[in-house]
Amino acid sequence: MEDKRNSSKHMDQSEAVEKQISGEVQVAMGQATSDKDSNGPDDQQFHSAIGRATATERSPNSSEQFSFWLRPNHSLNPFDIMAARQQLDESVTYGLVTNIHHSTDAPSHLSNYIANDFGEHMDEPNTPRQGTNVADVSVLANSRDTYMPIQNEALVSFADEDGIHRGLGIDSMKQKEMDQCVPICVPAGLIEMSNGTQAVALLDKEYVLGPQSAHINISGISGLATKTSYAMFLIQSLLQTMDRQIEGSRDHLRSSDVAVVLVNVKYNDLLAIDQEPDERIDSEQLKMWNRLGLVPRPFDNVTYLLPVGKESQQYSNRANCYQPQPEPSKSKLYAYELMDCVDKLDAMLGAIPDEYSVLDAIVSLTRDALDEGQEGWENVTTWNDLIHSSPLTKWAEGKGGPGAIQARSIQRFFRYLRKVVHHRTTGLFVETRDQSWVTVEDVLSRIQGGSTYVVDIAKLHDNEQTLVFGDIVRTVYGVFSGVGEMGMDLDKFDQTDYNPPKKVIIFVDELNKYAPSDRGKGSPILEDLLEISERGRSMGVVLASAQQFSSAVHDRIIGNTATKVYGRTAPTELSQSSYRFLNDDIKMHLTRLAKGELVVTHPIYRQPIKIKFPQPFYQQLQ
Amino acid sequence: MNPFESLQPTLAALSDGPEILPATGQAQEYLQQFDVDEHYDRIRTEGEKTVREVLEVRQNRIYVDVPPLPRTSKHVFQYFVDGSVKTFFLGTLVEHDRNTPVLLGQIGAAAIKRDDRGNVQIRSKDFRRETIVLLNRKQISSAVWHKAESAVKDVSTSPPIRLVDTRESDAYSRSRLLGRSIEQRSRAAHKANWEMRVLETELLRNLLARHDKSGAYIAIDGSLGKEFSGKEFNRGFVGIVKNFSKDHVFHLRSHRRRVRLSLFQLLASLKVNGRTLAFARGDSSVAFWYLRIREQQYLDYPLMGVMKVEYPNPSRQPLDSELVDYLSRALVAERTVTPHGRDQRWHAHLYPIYLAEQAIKNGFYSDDVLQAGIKWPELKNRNRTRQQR
Repeated sequence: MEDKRNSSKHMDQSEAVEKQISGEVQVAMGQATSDKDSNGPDDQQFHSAIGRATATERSPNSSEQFSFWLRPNHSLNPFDIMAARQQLDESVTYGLVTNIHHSTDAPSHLSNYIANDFGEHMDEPNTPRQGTNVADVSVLANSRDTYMPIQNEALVSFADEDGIHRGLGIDSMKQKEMDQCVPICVPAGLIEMSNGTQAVALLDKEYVLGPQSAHINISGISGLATKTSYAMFLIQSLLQTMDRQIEGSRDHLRSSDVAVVLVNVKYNDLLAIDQEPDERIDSEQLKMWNRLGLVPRPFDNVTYLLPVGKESQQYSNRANCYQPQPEPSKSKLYAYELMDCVDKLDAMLGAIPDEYSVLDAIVSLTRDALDEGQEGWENVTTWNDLIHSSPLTKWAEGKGGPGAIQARSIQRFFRYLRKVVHHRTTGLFVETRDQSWVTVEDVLSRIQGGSTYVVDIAKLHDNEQTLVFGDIVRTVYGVFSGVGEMGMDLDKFDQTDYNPPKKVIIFVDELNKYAPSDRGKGSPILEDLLEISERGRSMGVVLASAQQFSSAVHDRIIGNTATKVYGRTAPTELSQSSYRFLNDDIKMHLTRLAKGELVVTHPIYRQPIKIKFPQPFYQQLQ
Repeated sequence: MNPFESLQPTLAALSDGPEILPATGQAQEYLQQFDVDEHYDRIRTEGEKTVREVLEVRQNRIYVDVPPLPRTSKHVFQYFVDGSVKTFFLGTLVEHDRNTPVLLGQIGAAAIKRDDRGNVQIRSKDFRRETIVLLNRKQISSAVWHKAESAVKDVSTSPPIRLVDTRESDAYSRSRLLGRSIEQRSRAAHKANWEMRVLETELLRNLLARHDKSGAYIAIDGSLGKEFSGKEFNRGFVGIVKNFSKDHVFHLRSHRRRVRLSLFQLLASLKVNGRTLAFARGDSSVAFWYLRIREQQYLDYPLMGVMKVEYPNPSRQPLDSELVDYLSRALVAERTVTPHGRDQRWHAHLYPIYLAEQAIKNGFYSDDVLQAGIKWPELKNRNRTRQQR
């Protein structure tokens, strides 16, 4: 019933659009204007069209693009979506405005100078120079799949919301949702056109969370791009979408089946996401939330994982984070003692140059020895043990040693290790963990669906941040890659009935630190991130990432990201090859996006779209 | 769809009997090599080379300052009329020892309306277009002419098609340069120009009928010939001649002193924002004066930047100098903007007139369309018959 209602509504609106732009009018130079002037039944149709298609010798229309001139006193902007009448079969072609030109009949600038009385005339000319605004439009879709070029003189008007959806391919997404009776459409923001028409930009859930494709990447210059805000809004939108009912039925994947891991890298941005803002929500913001069909609400079931710091040795509840510290009931402090880092030593020392892999060999040797409790290593449990009283210490002094590794190489290893765990540390590495302190691995290896985990690394040094993020990635990936394996029954020391969530969304800013581009330096966790980007979608691990410069991130990660979001971007960045797929005109528009405006590319969309979005609804601490 | 499909019956009728010598490569644009404006101005002032009579009340100065009166202060000229013609030579019809060239003319006239904010517009009632087939009726048999005429009448197209006899009399039939004695193709080209002028006059007639209500002045491109001698053309418009005859000699009198000035002498001293006295043309039914709208120093030649303004004067009485000043000042202000770079005559051209001309030309079919669309229908059959013989 609903299907029928919906399709008949579509039909009516489609006909209306076709009818709306079917009026005839002549306004071009060389043709006279209609005698009907401003009355008559055709007049209303005339007023809804804002121009006509134009095809010339030098600038022909094609299946991919067309141009149209605008009537006087009408304006539009790049990213507006237009409807053009395809005269051949009366269908409607939708297209995205990529650029607008103004041209006049002056063949040169000199002619304009001369036309103004050789530069002397500064008043209004008696007859203004004839000029027109011509918009370039990239074809998105046709209502009857007719991809013949738009013919000269075809009437062009603004698309309505249904037209915008049809143009972008969102209508098929909506249809799929109705057919399968499961929520598919994820509100991703509002498309707002120059004439005031608004349309909800929807993403296909199957292309965000898998299985078709997955991952989201947000880039744009700092401050203006609001990358974190958008990521948080989108995650909230995803969670709310999963719980939506379609025709009374729900998806098997609910928000309670999905865990979210957020990495807080800046101040205390994400340290109060479970709290409502102090101030009441702005009415404009509320209107936007409502328009998107979403409820502004903070995140539920949040656990904050906070790093210990030097002060934590004295006050075990005090974390090394920006104040105010989240309530103890919602937070856990994490730290790393030697035995927590046995398999992470490579990540800890990843930034150290190791041309001949000597350090790597020492790390492997140490890991194996500690893991297996080899002879002489039984009592090595702390960082100090390792440096001062382990077999490695003796080898560093030249007393014996394993094969080809020279004493001075081990001394170098110690130098770096001391620097990392003692001298240049924020206090994250401890000799022995307090009873209340956990590790990231402890918590995330038992990650729960319906929960959100915020791992704070804002105050950590770069190498510590890499260690913690690597820990998150490896642990989560380990949980999913090990699903179904038979493990040991750990009785009371473990949750025997543990069921991992069906999906995990990991959000991290400054992805370029952890997955730098080929041209940049390497990263100890690059392989893990590549693994997630390439195979994560099939296992349920979704990476939502952000960074200032998309070009600074490894090509394979960007290449495997289905939904890419761009905020304002510097022109130098746009000259990089990672933006090659964007139309030159759209690239230029990226340089002048306003705060809160983003450009989204999504596999379902035929062209990038510009959106705005409401601020996420939680306490944003200053 | 071939836009000239409806012309085929006419061409079929014309070629049903007479021999056809088609233009090489079918239709060819017939280009007039001389400056048409100047040519017609010379014809209209034939026999009036010497100008003796000053036709305005105030006669104390030969040059009068006329500073610009812009539209924003007073919107004087609100309509601008122009016509355009494009002729194509289709071939020659031969009957016995008689022959006539056949030309196709695309003719049009348009009036640009300018509103008080400077926006321009052409309303459909102020836009005319026609397609004409021109040939010398005397050179073909009546049967062929009538057949062609009825073929034309049977089709209803937009723009309409008409058959024009190039021997028909018009206002220039007595002209030495354009009379019946001139070469047939040139005569046909003139006839096309004349038909265009007729369209322009019809447009102007309609505009003037509305003029009493609006009070707005109209500027029409070209000098005022006999076609504007009717009562309905007795007010409210001026003719603008961008390129005028240089043959005039002015015999002026001042305090018993007689001065003879060539046009070059007269205009060389004419300053920008200045006009000459208004002079009488012929029987004084038209007054004319020269107006410099652009500074000489910027132009290549002293006569550039000067336009000749003609004003109907059915009373034949001296004009009110205030009116001449008023019109001149408004015309000086029309110098912004110009079609510089688009039209060689930009220095004396009025931009709205240029726009009207463009509007008409843009409505004409291109050479490519015309060449591909017009074929003599009988040629194929004839060639086949000849081969069979």
